[in-house]
Amino acid sequence: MIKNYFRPKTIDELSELKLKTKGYLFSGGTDLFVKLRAGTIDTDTVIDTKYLNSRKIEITGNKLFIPINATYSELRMFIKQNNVNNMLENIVKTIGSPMIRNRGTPVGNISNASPAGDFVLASYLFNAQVIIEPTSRKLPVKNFIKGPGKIDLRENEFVYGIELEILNDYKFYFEKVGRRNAMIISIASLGLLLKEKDNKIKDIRIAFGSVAPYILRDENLEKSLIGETINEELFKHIAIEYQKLSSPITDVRATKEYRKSLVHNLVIKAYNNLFEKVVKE
Amino acid sequence: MKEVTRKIPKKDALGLLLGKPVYTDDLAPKNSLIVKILRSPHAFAKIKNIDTLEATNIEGIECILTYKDVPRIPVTRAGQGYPEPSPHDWYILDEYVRYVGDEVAIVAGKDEKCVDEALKKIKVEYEVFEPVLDFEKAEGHSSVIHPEKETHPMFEIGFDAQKNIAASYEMEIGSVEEELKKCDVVVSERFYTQAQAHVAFEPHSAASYIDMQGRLVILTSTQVPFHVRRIIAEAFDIPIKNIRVIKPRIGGGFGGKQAVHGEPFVAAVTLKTGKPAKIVYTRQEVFEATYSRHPMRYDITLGATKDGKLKVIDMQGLSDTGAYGEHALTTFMVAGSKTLPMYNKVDAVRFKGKVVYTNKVPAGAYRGYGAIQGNFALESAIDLLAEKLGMDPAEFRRKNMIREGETSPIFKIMGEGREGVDMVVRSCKLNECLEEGMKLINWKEKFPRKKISETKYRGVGLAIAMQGSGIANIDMGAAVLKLNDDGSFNLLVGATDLGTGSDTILAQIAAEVLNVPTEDIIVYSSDTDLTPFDVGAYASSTTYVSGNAVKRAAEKMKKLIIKEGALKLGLDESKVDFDGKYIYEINGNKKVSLKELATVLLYTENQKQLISDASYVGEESPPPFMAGFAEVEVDIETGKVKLINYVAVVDCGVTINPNLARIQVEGGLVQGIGMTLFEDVKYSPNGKLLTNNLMHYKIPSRLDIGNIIVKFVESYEPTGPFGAKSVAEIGIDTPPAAIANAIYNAVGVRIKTLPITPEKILMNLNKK
Repeated sequence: MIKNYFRPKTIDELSELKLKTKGYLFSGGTDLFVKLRAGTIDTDTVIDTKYLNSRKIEITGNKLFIPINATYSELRMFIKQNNVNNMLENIVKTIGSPMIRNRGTPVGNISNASPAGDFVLASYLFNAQVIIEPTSRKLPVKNFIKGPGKIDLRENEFVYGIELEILNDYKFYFEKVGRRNAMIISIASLGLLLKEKDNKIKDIRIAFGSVAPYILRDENLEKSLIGETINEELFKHIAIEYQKLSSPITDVRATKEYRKSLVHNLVIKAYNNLFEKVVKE
Repeated sequence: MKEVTRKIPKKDALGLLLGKPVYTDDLAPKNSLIVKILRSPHAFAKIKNIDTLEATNIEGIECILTYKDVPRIPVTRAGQGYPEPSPHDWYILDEYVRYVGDEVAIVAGKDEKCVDEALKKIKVEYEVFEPVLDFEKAEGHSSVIHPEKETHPMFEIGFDAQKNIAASYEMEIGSVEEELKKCDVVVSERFYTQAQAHVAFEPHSAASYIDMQGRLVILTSTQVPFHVRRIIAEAFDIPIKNIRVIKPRIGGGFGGKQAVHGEPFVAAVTLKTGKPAKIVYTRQEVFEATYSRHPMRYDITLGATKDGKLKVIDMQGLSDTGAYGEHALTTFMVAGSKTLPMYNKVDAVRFKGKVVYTNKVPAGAYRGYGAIQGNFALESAIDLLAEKLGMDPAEFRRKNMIREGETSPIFKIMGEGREGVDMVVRSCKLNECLEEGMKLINWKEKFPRKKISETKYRGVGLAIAMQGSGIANIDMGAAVLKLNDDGSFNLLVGATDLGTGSDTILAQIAAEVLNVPTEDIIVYSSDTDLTPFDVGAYASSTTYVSGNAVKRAAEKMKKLIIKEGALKLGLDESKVDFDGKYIYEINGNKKVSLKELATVLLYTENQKQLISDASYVGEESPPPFMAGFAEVEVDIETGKVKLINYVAVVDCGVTINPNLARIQVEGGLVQGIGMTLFEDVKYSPNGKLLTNNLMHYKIPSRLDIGNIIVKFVESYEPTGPFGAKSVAEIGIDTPPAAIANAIYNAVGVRIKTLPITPEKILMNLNKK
């Protein structure tokens, strides 16, 4: 049961409280309170981060900065108004429900480090840097997340924000397969960014959710594809390679066999959709 | 008709919308003790020792009751006709626990905090047995789920507890084996349906207190107040006259509240302590420890001649009733009795099988009540047969299905738990439903499939269905009408509005007879002290059974008004009539208003209270019919199904309130779609329900159900109130088969086990 509730206003205050109380940070509460209720988190202290004097969502150089407490709905609005990283819209709009998006935050999603986290997948695709205070550490999300629910964070530290690359002229495909069309946790998801020149790959980024203990992205494989001609053969090759790399589990949502099939098929599907082999509705 | 067929909103709609305190938990006495249940962590065990001392000593704890503290009288929780067709196999508390979630102890205290603490401090030692978790291995399993000698059926239902059989049934008309030999084409397939959850938004809740006369009053979210009164009386061995059951507004039931659930536990606490008590189930408890739909398996064999005449239907089933046998026999029989008559021209038909106990969440009543399980199997198999014959499945059905004025021997042979009644189907517009549905879905254009792209295919599929209107010769409803001094009427009914709108349509029926506005009928339902008997809201009974009772009561009231009006006018009864406002001389000028008559009757002249009553029990159960058409788009890369259109064309006779009839069908369809595509049920290897919350148990969201088109065909049921039949269940029956058939038509994958998940489709596509 919650007995202590704090509202720090400064970075140092928040850091000290976290260190001293071992309390849980609370912004939207869309995940924290579910876990408290389910008994998977047991704490008597929450530290409300919403009163922290922090930066706003902003563009700095070629980076999109998303601070602690910024909600999915605010991010969507910002993307639309500033016409930046519009591809994110496809991912963010599938997260939870309107109520969840009005409360939940990208920083919260990354701090949970779930392999099914939709924004975690987005942050891998956009080479996110995680900004940690009060130590002002900055590290790539792939290094920050160490496993399911495991993150590189000291007891006095918290995630202050994330920086995503701003990408232009990329083709983008995202699909989340779940048990229904709304308010789902993915069975498997794929995000793919591709920049082409003369029908050859100039840059490609591929990330999968829910098919490994972490977001699956292989930068060496991506590098090996640069310069290759874009055709179905190439994507079949990519599909097979990722199928080998994936290590899904069987859970209440689906079997590992189905997830393995999806890893393959989603890559092909991305190709079909990006290169208009599919009639658009 | 003025009032019947009016599309008025539900009488309770505004109050509910404004959040008025109307539910059980709102109305429970404010000083109620909080009651919670310690539940079994084991699927099958015997309590060796239970130590409540430390828990009892917690500040605020009022009482902790175990099986040693309550009467041990076998009852069934199922609220059905009496004698009950469900075995008496349940005890308020027992030394055996038979599923994960079964009740071990009742804890009552002043607040949730102390009760939660006490739940943790009760020490129980169990002798754990091997549970029976696979219903196909239940019969003759070395673990006997009901070894106790007290458990018994009230009459012959094929019960054999030693073999884990709760009920069994068999019937055959003609010779299936002989007729199959004469068939040119035979199909034989096996189908499975899952333990769907009701997911009523209001969880099961009950409160109780002792009134000033020392009687036990129970306030409860129930579909069956009169059955609750009877079952509680039996379980505690107290006279019925000492119990009052009040049903406030209900936030959905769907069959899940056609039983006692929390009532015995609050009653036990109130009887022990003399204090008010209440229980509100958590969502997890609703999933784990109330009811689910009976999972069933059907082996269907169909035989036909080359010309497309269906000759033989053989349905052999196995049903899983979980730890207790509630609605075991009746849901099983309905799988036959509400499907087989649709194909009434066969030469031989057989229906047989068993209902077995397992150590899982008990199954009970759920909208569709066996019919949906049977319909999925039969209507899937009909498509397989039509394909083998090279016939359009719509054409095959048209050739073989029942028509108006026809009968089926099934009506007489199969009732609910006993023999049925012989009847002719006086209203059946199934053919019109089929024709209209084909037009609305554009069958000719779309059947069987359209290729949308290299990876997406659209297909259409259909199924037909029937249900009933109450249980003939069993379900009884009664109504009382009372005239007030302003000319308004109180309508008192035992019929139980669960959110369905039945209060509203019953008022419309009374208003139509009396020629008054529905707004002048004030409805009260239901309270065992104040309203007349009604079996309750189940088996699609309220519109037809309770509606007929209301109609008769209103006709009697009209006669009383004419009689008293004539007296007032000094005329013979035959010389006057009543038009809703005035009692008037037919060939003359004398008249008196209803309001004036009502006032003088109460205060000045010939004083009396005008009150009328009537009861109704159906001599037959006219089936509503429908044709359901699904259009799906299947993504062959993920196996995902998008339901694009669902067309439902329904014959439920005259719709008393077309809007309320429509939302009944729409709601049924959505639950049927959920069962077909989304609602997966999973258990852990040791028998714990894993899909025990709304995170893991997915009901369809608005984005999942596509475009729903409901249409009613013109139809008139001569035995129904103003031509009406019931409509509560029929909507749920067709989606499983229609969608399965549509998916097959789209991509050639035939899924025979519900739910049809993307995974099953993709894995089957991979095999092709």
